[in-house]
Order: sequence, then C-alpha cells, then structure tokens
Amino acid sequence: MAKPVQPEPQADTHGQPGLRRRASLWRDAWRRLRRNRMAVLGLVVFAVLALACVGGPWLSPYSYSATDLAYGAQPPSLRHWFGTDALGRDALTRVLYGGRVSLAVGFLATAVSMLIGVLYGATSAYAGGRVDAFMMRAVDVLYALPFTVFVILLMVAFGHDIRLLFLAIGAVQWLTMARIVRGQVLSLRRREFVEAAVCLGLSPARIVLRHVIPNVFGPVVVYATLTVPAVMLLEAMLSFLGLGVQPPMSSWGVMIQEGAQKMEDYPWLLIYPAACFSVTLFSLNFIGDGLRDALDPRSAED
Amino acid sequence: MPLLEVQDLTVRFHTRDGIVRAVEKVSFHLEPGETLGLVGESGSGKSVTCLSLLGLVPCPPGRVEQGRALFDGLDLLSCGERRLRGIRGRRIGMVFQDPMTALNPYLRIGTQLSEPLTCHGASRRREAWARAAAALTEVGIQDAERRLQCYPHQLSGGMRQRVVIAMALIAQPDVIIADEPTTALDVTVQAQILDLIRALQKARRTAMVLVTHNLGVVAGACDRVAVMYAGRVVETGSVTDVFRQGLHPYTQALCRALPRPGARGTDLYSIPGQPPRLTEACPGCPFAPRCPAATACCQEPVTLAEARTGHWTACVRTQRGEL
Repeated sequence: MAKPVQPEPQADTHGQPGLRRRASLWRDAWRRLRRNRMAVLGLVVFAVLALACVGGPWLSPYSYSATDLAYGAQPPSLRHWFGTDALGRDALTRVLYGGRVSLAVGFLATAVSMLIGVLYGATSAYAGGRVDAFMMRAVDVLYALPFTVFVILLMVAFGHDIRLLFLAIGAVQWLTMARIVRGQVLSLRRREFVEAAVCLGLSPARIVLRHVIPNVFGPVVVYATLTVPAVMLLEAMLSFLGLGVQPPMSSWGVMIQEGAQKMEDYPWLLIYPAACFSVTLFSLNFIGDGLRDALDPRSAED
Repeated sequence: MPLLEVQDLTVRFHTRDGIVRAVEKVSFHLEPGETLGLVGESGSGKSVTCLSLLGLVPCPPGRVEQGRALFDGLDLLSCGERRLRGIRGRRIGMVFQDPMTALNPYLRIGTQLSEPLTCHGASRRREAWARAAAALTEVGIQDAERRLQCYPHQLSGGMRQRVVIAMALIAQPDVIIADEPTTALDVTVQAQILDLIRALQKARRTAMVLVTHNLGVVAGACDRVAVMYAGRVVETGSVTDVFRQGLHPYTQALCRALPRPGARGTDLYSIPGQPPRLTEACPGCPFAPRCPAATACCQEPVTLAEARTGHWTACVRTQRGEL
C-alpha cells in the first residue's frame, strides 16, 4: 500500500490507555469483572453454594429420602446441622439436594430463554416491517396462553419428566426476553454503525450476530440474573401443584413453601432453604451487575 | 462513459403527515476519479440521495419511486438486495458523518476494519488483519498494529474518522460516498481529514460523491458540484463555473450568504423566507417563493437544462437568457 499520508498529530494520540494486546471481548470482560469486588464476592459465594449442592450429598451421611421418625422435627444440632423435618429426614441433605434441582432449573431454563429470546427478538426487530409484526403477535399469543395450562398439557402429552420442566419454563420465559431484546435492537438498528456495517456489504445474519447482539448483552445479562430466581419460583409453584419435582425429591422452592406452612413450629425448615435461596439471588445479582459493566468495553478504566 | 449515472431519482417518504418528497427527479453523473460535491441546506435531499444509491433508505416509510442509478451497467435501484450487497463495501464505500457513532463500540478497530475483506471472502483473517494494519498506516495512524487492538472509545474523534475512512477504502472501491465526513470534527481536524481523503483518492483514482453544506469544502475538494434545493438539483457544473458564475438565483444567494473576510461590521446576507414544505407538491421552481427574480413563468414545470457547456441550471429565466 501507499506510504503514510500525513501522520496523525501527536496531540491526538496522547496518553491513550489500554493499548495492550487482548484476545477477545470475553477475556476483557473477565479481566474487568475480576476488578469488581462485589461481583467476585458473588461469584465465590455462588461457586461455594453450587459446589456444595453438587458434591455435598455424597459427603453427607444421610440420604435425602431416609426417614427417621424417632428423630422427627428436631431443631439444628451437631448431628443434624440444619435440623430434621417432620419425617426425620436430614434438612441439610435435603437443602443440598433441593439446590441441585433449583439451580439446574434456574440455569437451564434461563439459558434456554436467553438463547431463544435473544435470537428471536433480534431477528424480529432487525427484519422489521411485517416480519416483525408477525413475530411479535406470535409472542403476544403465547403470552396470553395460561402458563399452568401449557405445562399441564406438556405433562399430559409427554409424561412426568424433570427435563420437561426446563423446557416448559424456558419456553415461557423467553417471551419477555424477546420483547426486551427487540426494543433494544429497534433503537440499535438505526444507529450509524449498523448502517455502516450494511454499507460494508455484510449479510443481515452477520450484522445481527456480530454487531447487534453484543450491544444488547448488558440488559440481557441483567435480565437473565433476574430470570434465574423467577424461574426457581415458577418451579416451586409447579411442584406445589404436583407438576414439578415429585416427593421425596425436593427443591428450594418446595422446601420454602412447606417450611412457610410450619414456620411457627419448625422455623429452621424455612430459614435454611430460604437463606440459601436469598444468598443465591444476591450473589447472582452482584454477578449480573458486574457482568453488565464488564461486558461494556467503554467501562474499561485501566 | 460515466462510472455512475443517476437519472430521475425520486424518493418519497410516506408518513402520517403526508407524502414527503425528499428527492425529486435528481440526475447527476460521476466520472472515474472525479469528485462531485452535493451541496444544499439541511433537508435538501443530499443524504437521502446517497442512501438510496446503496439501498439504505428505510422502507417503510421511504420508497424509491422512480429513476435509475447505473453503476458499471447495473441499476443499483432495481438490482435487488443480494447483488447490492456484493457492491457495498467492495465497489462503493461509504464514509459516515459522525465517527463517534459509525463504529461499533463492542468491536475492536481491527475486527471492524477487516470485516469488508473477510465477509466478501476475499481473504482470510490473518491476511485481512495485516491489510487492516496497512490501511491504518495509510490514513496516517501511527503504530497501527497496536491501534488495531483498540476499541473505538479509546481513539479521538479525528482518529476515528480516519478509521472510518480506512474502512470505506480498504476493499479498494471505485466510488466513495462521503456523507458530510467532516461535519462532526473540529476545524483543524476537518482540514486534515479533507486533505487525507483527497490524497488517498488521487493515489487510487477513486471517484467520490462528497455531501456537504460547507461551500468552502466543496470549493477546496471537488471537481464538479451539484447544488440541491428542496429535493432537486437546481444547478450543476464545474466548481469554478458554479461558484464564479452561478446561474441559478439560489446558488447566487448561497454564495452571497458566505461570510467574507474584510466585510466586518456588515450584516451577513440571508435568503428571506423558508424552504418549501416537502409534503406539498410543487410543480414549478421550488425556489420561486424566495427568489428575487421570480416571475409567473417560474410556476411552470422546469427541468435541468444545459445553459453553457457542462453547466446546467434549472432556472427557467436563466435558460431563456432573461437573467
């Protein structure tokens, strides 16, 4: 290529920070996330909880389903750290087991809803016009469908299966995500850099995937962290109706519901699962906030 | 044979308040290697003209109602999205007005810069990245390798505009459309950027359509100029002809309205009245209501006609030799 034409004056380049070599948006985001103390704390707390739920039941001397009627409804003690329920089952083991279900439902359903919602919303908004109108009316119709009826229909059609639960919840949660993403993309679509990308001759798919979607990560991540608890509660509701996890299996949502009924007599049956639930939500919120900031390259102060 | 020939381009926006006639029967042509200035005030249809060439007029509400834009024998207005995509970036590049918004804040400079190369399948990533570095050097950015790793917000406005220019040029197009490339920059940087565009353009014999409302920019950077008013070309010709001996009363008024050194203390001339509302059909000369030389004949339909060699005007009275 030709020789340099008129070098940029020095005044223009003074002290530009952060010119280090970097690999990707994600690696940058990770580096920025590590600087956010609350996010790291959230991450650590959450990791400990998740590990405990995954690994804890193996270490526990008790089974989640073994009853010990002689030892029923005991408050927390050295033998049973979280106490026992009315049937004499170890509450700690049950909390950990329930955590598996809750976390799995929370994350898988959220992931499903994010994947569908983001792609659907972005496509709809980017396509615009009639396609957009049609796609969004479809969302409206699905919104209007009563959730429980939908789940019952699924259960009737495919039988009881915990995987169906993920599917059913994910299939409902993506609707809001799609709407949020659509709104964001509608405004992004008219931004100059998207038009510039069109001018470079990029295909619509490439523009949506590379230029539009990264720009909606912020709101999406924050909404996703809000979706996780919502999904866990939905699962509790379904389980309460007998459509979710079946006894003797349990989940945090179910335990909280049961615990709340016996709150006055056995408060520990409410407190522990509720505490786990809240701590999870808190840490997720901090992680979400941190991620939102970390994913925005403009927030890099280094 | 002209590289780009636009004939009777008409673009309308169908809005709730009525039909906005943004561009009415605009015709111009562009020779290889030449620079055509499109001047006019805000709302005169300069940008819409450019956008419609690349199929970027938002539809709805906009619609190209009529006209042809022949580029290398292909009509850009009717060739369809797929073929247009092959032309965008590779054959016709576009420089946007505001470098602050024309770059994606989430992508590195290098990624954005190499995109026109990788997406047309012209080259592989590493090769594209190398060419991106070369392109940055070419637009006068030092330390290109390192700059490729930057995000747009880490660069200054002038540098970003250099990146935008490099992006438009990287696939070596035959035509660049520059939509007010210097408006968002401060004056000293403006001059640098204009010089840069001119130099690159000369080196490669790239033709350019330069949209601006700055007559000084046109005088300094263009070979020919088309003056637009209310969605129409009212005068076109070489820069010297149009500015020295403007034929259309609007062009003359525009030149009078320029501030002049040495004219201190006197009021700046301004054209009385307002530009017409584009929602109302205007069969005659759109400038007639504000024109000091207007007569009854200005209400009749008028087309661009060659008054002198290579110098066209859409003023009936000039065409008749009355002015």
